[in-house]
Amino acid sequence: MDAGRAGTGNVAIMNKIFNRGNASGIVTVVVLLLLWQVIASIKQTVYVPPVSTIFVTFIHEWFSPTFGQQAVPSLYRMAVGYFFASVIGISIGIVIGSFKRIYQLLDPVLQFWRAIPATAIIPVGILLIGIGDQMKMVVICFGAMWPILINTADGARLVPTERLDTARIFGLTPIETLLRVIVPSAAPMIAAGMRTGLSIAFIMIVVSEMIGSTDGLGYYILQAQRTFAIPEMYGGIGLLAILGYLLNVLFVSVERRVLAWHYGQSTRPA
Amino acid sequence: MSNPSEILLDVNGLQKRYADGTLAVQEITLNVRAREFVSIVGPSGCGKTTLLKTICALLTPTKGSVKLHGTLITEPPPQMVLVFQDYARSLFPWLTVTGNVMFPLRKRKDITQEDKQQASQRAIEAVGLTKFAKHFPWQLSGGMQQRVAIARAVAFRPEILLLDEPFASVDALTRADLEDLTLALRDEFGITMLLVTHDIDEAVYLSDRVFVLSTPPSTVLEEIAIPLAQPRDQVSTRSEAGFLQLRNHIHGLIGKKKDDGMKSFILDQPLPRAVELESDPVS
Amino acid sequence: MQKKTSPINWSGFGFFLICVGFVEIFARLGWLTSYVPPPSQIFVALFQGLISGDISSQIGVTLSVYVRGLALASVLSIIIGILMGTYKPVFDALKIIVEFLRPVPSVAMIPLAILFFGLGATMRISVITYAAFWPLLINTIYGVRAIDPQALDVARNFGITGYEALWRVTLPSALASIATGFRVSATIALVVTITTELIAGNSGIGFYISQMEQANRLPPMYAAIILTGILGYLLNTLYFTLEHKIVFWTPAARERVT
Repeated sequence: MDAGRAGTGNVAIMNKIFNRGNASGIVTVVVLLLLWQVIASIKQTVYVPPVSTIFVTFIHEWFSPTFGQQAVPSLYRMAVGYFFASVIGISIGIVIGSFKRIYQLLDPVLQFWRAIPATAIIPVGILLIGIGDQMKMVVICFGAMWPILINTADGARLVPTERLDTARIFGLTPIETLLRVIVPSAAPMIAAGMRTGLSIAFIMIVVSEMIGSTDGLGYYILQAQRTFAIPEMYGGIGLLAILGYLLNVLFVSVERRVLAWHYGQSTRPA
Repeated sequence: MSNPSEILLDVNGLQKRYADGTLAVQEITLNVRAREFVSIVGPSGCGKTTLLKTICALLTPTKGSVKLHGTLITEPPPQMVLVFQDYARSLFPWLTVTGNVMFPLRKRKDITQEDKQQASQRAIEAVGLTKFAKHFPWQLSGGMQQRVAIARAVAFRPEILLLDEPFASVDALTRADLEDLTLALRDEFGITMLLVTHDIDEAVYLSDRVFVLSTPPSTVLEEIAIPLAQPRDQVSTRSEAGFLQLRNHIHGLIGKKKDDGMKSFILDQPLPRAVELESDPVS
Repeated sequence: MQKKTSPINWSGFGFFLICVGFVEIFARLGWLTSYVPPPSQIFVALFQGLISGDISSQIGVTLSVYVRGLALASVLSIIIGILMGTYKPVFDALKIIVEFLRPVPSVAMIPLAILFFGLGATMRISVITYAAFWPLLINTIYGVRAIDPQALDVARNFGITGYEALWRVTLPSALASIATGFRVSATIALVVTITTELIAGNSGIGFYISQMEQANRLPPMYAAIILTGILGYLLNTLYFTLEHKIVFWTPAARERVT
């Protein structure tokens, strides 16, 4: 499992491990928060405001137009970038994975692009496209595309020969085989790639907004730090955490539904 | 329906050599008559799967020809269906049993949707899985999954069914059931059967004729007629004197030809799944 | 029987070179935007930068920060991971914190780190540690949890319990998972190192990239970007090799993985 490839086999087990015995966990969190509050109130320092201050600022900031001004643009850019990353990644991935020759031909090129950290591309993006929504969407798309593409290609490659042969025996055309056999077979790996892609998209939006932007969550947090609006900074980070968590939950619930047939199995087929 | 004694499938001088030069099948000549049950037996590694795939036109022969109804086959013909040994890899895990069985009928524009549903229902009934029609394949046992694969093939109404060691991956009891199921399907739907197996007893039990293959590169050692009583029965047929004679004869044939002099009892062990051949995914 | 294919992908590399060739030609013809220089210039810049020390010194800085952050993350995550994996109370107590902190992108912590540590190596190390901590933690927990209980029973049969069991049975079994987790963490750590340098660094390759971008010196900028890719690739290969050498008994390590 590297940053490009993700497996779903362990996730089920990990989710089972993480879903029991919540009580002591909550207690720990509460205790830590209380400690924070107490220490911060006693030892007044700008760097670590009391939890209460952060909380109040959070409510004040994010249940206000600020949400629309800062959070929504971030989410919007991310959504668009991720959407195109998925479309491009899946379509190219399926083609590459289905034809051994093409995969062999393109492999070094793919490895080359995949090795470059997506964030390092941001300066190039700024030069070529400037600072704006398009740059961010392009950069997000570029970053999120690779795990999706590679996982899709792997999924398409690893369709059992017997299934492809069965399709031929029953007289399916190549397109039908693609849509009715290859895509469903590859679906679990595609989903894994899309999940990795999602977290990369999330990172890319924050980074691109920190480097070259005039609005957005990334910009907001960095700016808050620069202007010493510390509670706002914490609040922003907190919001990012919540959004990240929600996105993940959303993704997993959709994945569970679409791939219900896959999660029902105790072992994944080859 | 074809004339009972007409030759349905004619395999002539078939040879299959891989791109890297290995000769899997040297020269195979055999034929199958309509409504016949023909088995091909041979030692492990003699290219039985390759042979079936070539007959089915999934692979192109290096030499020789395969004719169905006298016509040369170049693409997998709709009258022929191949059932694989590894059912888990050939069934579609995202479809239910019904979904799997109906899958090959999707394309057919000449039958109405109702007829398709009926055909699949009938096939599922014929293999005894009516209660599990809405299940997913992975919820079923190995033997049941193989039945789904067979039902899927049967629903397609082929004239001839090719079976690649279909019962090798199931336990002995299930195997007996599946053997009888195959016979019943032949009787009920009039489908011709070409079965490949390493299990000599199975071949003798099921078939009207048996072709015995040599070690690789394989040729046909002998064609043996099986004149045992019909209908076959697990207990009575297997205790007929003729049964033992025939199986021992075949054992002798195959045992004699073993290159390294190993005993032929090895044949009776379930084979590990052979490493797949030409059309393997990139590893 | 498997078809014999050459282990070196000649056609692939050929195609790669052809693509580079086309970019070279298009760039020199002026067909590409002036912001994409010919690959030859990039290559020269890379070479010059390495020799002159402009780039090579930055590599040293980046790697130094990278190694320290990764080391710290490894130590912390393996220790906590073993604790969480072995003792259910510890696991239950810390679980929710892990669940909530894990999805926070490490880059969001950069402003926080700047606040506490200013700009400099410590700030970057702290962010790297935060980022690299989680994958290794999760994998360590999983590795410890997923131990075949039979292995421990057999050990107990031979009178090996407690601390010794931990050292001689639990740890080796969990090693496969830990090795994989380490590889993932290491990959993330490199990306985060570069990113941190990009956003708020004062040294390192990421900083160099940002500097070159601002100075509009494009060939060195691209050279540095490609260098990060090369660095990532080399490190990844290193980790894969280590992983397979150390944990040679697992099925995954027995097949050749690219």
